[in-house]
Amino acid sequence: MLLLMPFLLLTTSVQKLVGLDLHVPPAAATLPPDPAGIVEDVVVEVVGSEIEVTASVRRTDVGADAGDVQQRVVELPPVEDDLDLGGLQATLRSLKTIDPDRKKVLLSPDDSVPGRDVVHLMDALRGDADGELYPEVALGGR
Amino acid sequence: MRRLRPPKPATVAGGAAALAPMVDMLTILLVFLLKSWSTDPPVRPDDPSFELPTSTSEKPVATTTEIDLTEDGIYIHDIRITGARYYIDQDDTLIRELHDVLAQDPGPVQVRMDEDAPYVLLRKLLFTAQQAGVEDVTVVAVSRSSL
Repeated sequence: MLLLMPFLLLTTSVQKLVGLDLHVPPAAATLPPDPAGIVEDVVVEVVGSEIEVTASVRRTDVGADAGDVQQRVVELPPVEDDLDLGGLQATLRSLKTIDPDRKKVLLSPDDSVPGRDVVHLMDALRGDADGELYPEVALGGR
Repeated sequence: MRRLRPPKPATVAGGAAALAPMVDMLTILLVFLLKSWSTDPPVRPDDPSFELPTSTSEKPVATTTEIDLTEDGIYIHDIRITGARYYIDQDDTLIRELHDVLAQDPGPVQVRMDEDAPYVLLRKLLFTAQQAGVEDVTVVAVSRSSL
């Protein structure tokens, strides 16, 4: 132990780098079909410190026709001038409960959103304290 | 007579009692060092204003083409390719200078983005990478478990 500790202290770096993977489809490729589920798509838009979650959820009540989709929009105002990441995760967790198989989410930040917030949003979309949310994050533009 | 007597040895019980907490502390320190140990070199050490965002991800970064995005410029392997201000302000979605370099070797790339750089740069970089045939892009961040 007394040999290992000086070795670790001398060789370690103060920064441990980690990566968040993004898959970029070829320019002419068509997107693969999403798995059949109740939630058809989830879009998270960010303007400044405001978040808006839009989900297309298939209607399953008796009176609904085939293909009827309901748009659910949740607006999350900033909390202490910062992004409400807790509220975002709670919203996504409720959607994940409806359709646990869905893994994709589209993140659409405004052009002025700083890189720090983009990474924090990607972290929040991938999972929360209760487990995985939407690990396949696609970045889009507004 | 008292001087001829050998000195009494130190009591063993007191020494052992002091050693146990020290071993505990060293073990905790060792576990912490092993968990946060990394040999990643510093990113852009000559640019003190450059800061990577922090992330909860634990996925290590593979060695690939390094692209640095700052509010000042765009760099590949620390070589400046072009300025960033034009692409922040203008509507051009393709970063031509970057496209020419990436198209020669469209392998995986890692993007090291300054935490204050606007998202528009990353968006245009992703579009440029797509047009150049790059399929795997990794956004690099600093782990929250760093020292």
